[in-house]
Amino acid sequence: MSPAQPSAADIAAAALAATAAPTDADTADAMARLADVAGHASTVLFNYRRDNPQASDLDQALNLEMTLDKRAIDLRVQAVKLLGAQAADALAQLKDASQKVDDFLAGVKKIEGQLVIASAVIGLAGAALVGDAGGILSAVVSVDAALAAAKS
Amino acid sequence: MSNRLRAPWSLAAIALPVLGGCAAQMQPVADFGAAANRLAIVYKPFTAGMAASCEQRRRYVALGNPGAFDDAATQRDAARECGPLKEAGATAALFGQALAEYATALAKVSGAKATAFDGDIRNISGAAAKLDTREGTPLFDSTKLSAAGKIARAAAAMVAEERLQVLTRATLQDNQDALKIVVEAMQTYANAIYAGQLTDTHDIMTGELGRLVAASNAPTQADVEGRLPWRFAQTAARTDIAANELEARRVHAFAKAGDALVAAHADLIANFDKIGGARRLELVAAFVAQVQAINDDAAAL
Repeated sequence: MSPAQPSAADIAAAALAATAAPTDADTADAMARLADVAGHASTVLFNYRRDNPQASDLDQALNLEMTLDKRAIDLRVQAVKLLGAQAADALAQLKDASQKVDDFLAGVKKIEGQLVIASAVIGLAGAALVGDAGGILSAVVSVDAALAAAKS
Repeated sequence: MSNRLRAPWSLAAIALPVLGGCAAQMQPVADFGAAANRLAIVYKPFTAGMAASCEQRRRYVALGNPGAFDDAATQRDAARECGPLKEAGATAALFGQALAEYATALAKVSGAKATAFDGDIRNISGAAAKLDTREGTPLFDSTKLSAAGKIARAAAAMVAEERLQVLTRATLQDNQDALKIVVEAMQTYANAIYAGQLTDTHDIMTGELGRLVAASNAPTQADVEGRLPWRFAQTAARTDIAANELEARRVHAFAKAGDALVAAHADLIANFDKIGGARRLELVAAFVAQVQAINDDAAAL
């Protein structure tokens, strides 16, 4: 099922509506969960490289893998720091997107899909590190779109 | 012999009974303090462990990468890339220090010898001062730092006034919320953040072990010699994986014991009138048993 693409106004409205401050534990858990997803996606790409040494897209896989690995480190540091008061709705969506990607990675066999998802996760991780609710929501939309495209 | 019996604690051990009824032995408090201190000792390796696990993952990844390979250079790169986690871990360690000091102080003022882990009891090292210097940093929010500072200062006060002070219900009550905040911060660090890093490293290592096993297959006797490096390498990989899995079990057991610690502390408050003569309290005993189980699991490796 392909999710409806929200408009920029929808994203902005959602970001503005998400004003409730989450608890510190929520923030740390959301960051840690996304770090886990980034780390998992990196491992998937590493295994792909190791098991498909003749594949034509190894450079792209390596590049994404290393970026995800770095993001996982950054997100864990951020989780420890517990910086920022991100909006509750953005956090909820962050957790939801993380779960979807994790579920997807557990089942997908096509590397094309993994690479697309990996790119989307990198964008989401970047938004989470900045701590901007609007950026997170926007990146969540990209992840959803990537998941839908990979499943089709 | 335990450091606990060294001066000035040896003097305190004499002074407390001399003060008579105002310093009755509180066995459950001693047991709680020693077990809580032991749990802080269990936690301590977690704080350095996150960067170490990150480096280990990086080394395994590097083994599977194309191009030149220099083991020493790989380690240097891994240490650099995982460096930020080392700093985060150093701050996370302060929570464990605060818990250890509070627990140690309780054990000391209890006037009793703990049933288990008594040998772990050491002197107060001054975590309160270290926490104060972190107040201005962005690491951890001020609420949690304040909580850690509060129990560390309570520990220092208990020790400074030991010869005169009687452990009161108010002392425990006053620190219950702060203790809960500190333990929850430690649980979040261990169970939500460090555990994720351990899983990432575990996944990479198990994948590589599978490849080592596959590469070890020798279709004929003539192939065996060439496969020996892969066959020997399996042992080291399995050792690394076993250590990772033990650490993950300790993390989960720690998180569970953290809940028991807070419950046991509340039990001390609820039953304060009885602990002067009580040999044991149910929730304290349950907490001590959980900490003992963590120790037993580590010893079994």
